[in-house]
Amino acid sequence: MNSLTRPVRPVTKKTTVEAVEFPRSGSAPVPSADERRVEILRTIARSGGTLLPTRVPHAKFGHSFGEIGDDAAGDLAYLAKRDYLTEKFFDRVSLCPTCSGHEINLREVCPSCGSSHLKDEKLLHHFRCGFVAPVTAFAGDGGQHVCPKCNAHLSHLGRDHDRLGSAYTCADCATSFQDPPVGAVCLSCGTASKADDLLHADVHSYKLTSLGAAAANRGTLYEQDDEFLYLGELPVYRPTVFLELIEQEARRIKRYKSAFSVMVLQWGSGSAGTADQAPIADSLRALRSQLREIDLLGQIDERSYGILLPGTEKRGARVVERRAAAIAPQAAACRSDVVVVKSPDDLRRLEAALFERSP
Amino acid sequence: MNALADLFSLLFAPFDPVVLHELIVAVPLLLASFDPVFLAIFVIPICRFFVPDVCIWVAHTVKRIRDGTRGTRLVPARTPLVSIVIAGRNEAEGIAGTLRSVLGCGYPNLEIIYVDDGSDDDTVQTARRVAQAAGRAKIRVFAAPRRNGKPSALNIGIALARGEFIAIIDADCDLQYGSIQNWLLPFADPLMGAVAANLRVRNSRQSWLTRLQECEYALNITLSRLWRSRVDFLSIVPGAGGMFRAEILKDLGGFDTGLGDDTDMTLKLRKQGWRLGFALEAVVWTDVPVTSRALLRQRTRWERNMVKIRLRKHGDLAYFTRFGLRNALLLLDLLLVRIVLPVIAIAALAMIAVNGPAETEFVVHMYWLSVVGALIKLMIARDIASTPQPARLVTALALPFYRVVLRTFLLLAVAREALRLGQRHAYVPLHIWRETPHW
Repeated sequence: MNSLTRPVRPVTKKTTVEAVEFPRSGSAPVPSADERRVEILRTIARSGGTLLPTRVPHAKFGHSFGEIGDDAAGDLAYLAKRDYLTEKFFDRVSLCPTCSGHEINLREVCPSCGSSHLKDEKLLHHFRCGFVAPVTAFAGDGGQHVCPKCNAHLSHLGRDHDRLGSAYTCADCATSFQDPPVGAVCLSCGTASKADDLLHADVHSYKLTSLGAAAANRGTLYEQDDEFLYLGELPVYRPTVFLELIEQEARRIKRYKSAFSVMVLQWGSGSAGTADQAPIADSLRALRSQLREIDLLGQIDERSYGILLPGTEKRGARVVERRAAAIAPQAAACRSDVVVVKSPDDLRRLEAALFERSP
Repeated sequence: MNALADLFSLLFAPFDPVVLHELIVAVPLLLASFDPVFLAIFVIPICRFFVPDVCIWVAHTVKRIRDGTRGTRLVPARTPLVSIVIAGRNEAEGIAGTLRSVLGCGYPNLEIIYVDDGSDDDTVQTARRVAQAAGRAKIRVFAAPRRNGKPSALNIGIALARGEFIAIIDADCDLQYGSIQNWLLPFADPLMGAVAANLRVRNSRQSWLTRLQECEYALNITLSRLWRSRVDFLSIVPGAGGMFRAEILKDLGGFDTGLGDDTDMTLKLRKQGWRLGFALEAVVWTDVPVTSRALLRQRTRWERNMVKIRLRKHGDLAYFTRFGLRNALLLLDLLLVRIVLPVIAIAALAMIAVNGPAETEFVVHMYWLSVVGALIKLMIARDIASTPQPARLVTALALPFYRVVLRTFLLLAVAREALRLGQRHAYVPLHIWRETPHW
């Protein structure tokens, strides 16, 4: 069964970078982790709800988060995982497999001896006699190319001769080859490694969610097991919780051979932003009143919400669609899509409906 | 029944003791008379095609008796770097096996360069996968941007090679374990410029035609090249299995474009005075054509090479004052074996066919003589080189027919090439054909 998780950009095998604890100073009281994280949320809220990293050569991983500090990656990941922030991919950094330093020198190396002392020579091929050699071997008077084998002048590229591409020659071991591999050497610790063996860390930008804004206002994080966020007074399952509920339902129908449906509602980009949730909240409140108690309302992202309809097949899903259409004037900017899930193929369609949405 | 009995007695007449006695008595008389027909049909072919093989077998047997073992195992005094250059196009099925056979041939100081001549299948990807698995740049793959023909592809490999010796094999061959060491042995002679490998047929069981070719290779390649190399009379170091001193190839600028690149290189070496050798124990396994159409296509190309390269481009080998008597004799031998004798044989058969059944007995005698000769030679090849397989000896019965039919078609190809009809061959890409001299 496909696990319904938020799609994660594929990374190489050694990618996890452990969160870094804040260094402890001698005199000042050390804030707790939650206090630290709330402060981060407040900082982000003060700067307009968005946190963009800037490229700073000597900062950790080459990126800095300004006043939040360079060691906040762990806290930011924590907050994103718990829906206080949404993260968006910013850049990928290559790291030394030994010291995790980001100052890496990448260059082409000899596949035989590993030296970077390579010469790149363009090869020419003379059609008439088949002679192949670096361009320098064909040097003649007046800048013309003359074949050293048959002494013919090469005049028309493509007609009497052609270029075969580059051949690299290692100045240390004299090996010649066409495609040199890339080698890396860490400028911090001196470790030499293959480019494929480098670690990778993703750097993200962050945006405050409504939950994060609420936590920043409140001054504390919500309980870890608090499943809801609130649109006004309307409780809505948090995205991670909503996805877990869908997964649970998928396991249940697999066992009991039944079905469920998910209705995905998406509002246009004009409705984005924490300050603009009111129309969405109104629409959802109206729709919620039309649903059964067992139907579950959850958030997918700031503009998209889903309704999990347990035990509902096609006919029941159509009923819900009609009811949603009936509240259309309140949800003019809303697009809806209903997916009935009875088999693993349907799960794939559901996954597509949840995560591959129009901008 | 009478007709069957007559046919039977006709077919096996030569084995009649009375007939045999008459033949044995007649031979010295004919020899003494210098009868030209007898010389052309019997004496010259026997001297040329039979005597050398018997001589090499005698020499081999004497050596074996003297050594007391079945050949002494020699190893080269040193292990110089050998570059194996393989050029191929659209060999996705066979290239992995070829590369692995070279990797596993047991020679410690090797580099393998595969040059792809503009394949449009997965050959390059397959080769790179094998190269990556082998690690440490043991195999280097160079993908030419477009098809320029095998000689140009080989020249790319030669330009990239670092080895003291360069061995050329085809992309669909297998190198037998220990071949490189045996291939290097003749180079102990500083005058040795190139050494041909012993090409063996890998797919001999695939059809009746491949079985015949296995016998043909045993006789015309293994046995023939063995005695020819002993008297420095080798006329070809094949592109499917030839090792050269790297300096020679680089000084000559590699192979020339067009047909017959291996023949051309061999004759250039002969003109420069280099010796050419044959390494019996350096075995390269290759596939031969399975169908008659494919066989004719291959052999037609070989005959065209012969006319273009040996007769036109290097016809000056006949000037023995410039290139020595041996090279002039080589040319003479070529004309004799590939043109004169086949023409005489086919003309004789044609005349017999015209004259009718009166000469049928003669034809039967000739057939059995060919069969006996082929059988003896196959047994010699089997004894010296363990080829062909024993079950193939019965193929001697079909060999005369195979040779006559093949030779007839090939003489037509020779005539076409001599008259310059249908010049271009698909072996040579069009843009190369336009630029190369047409011999």
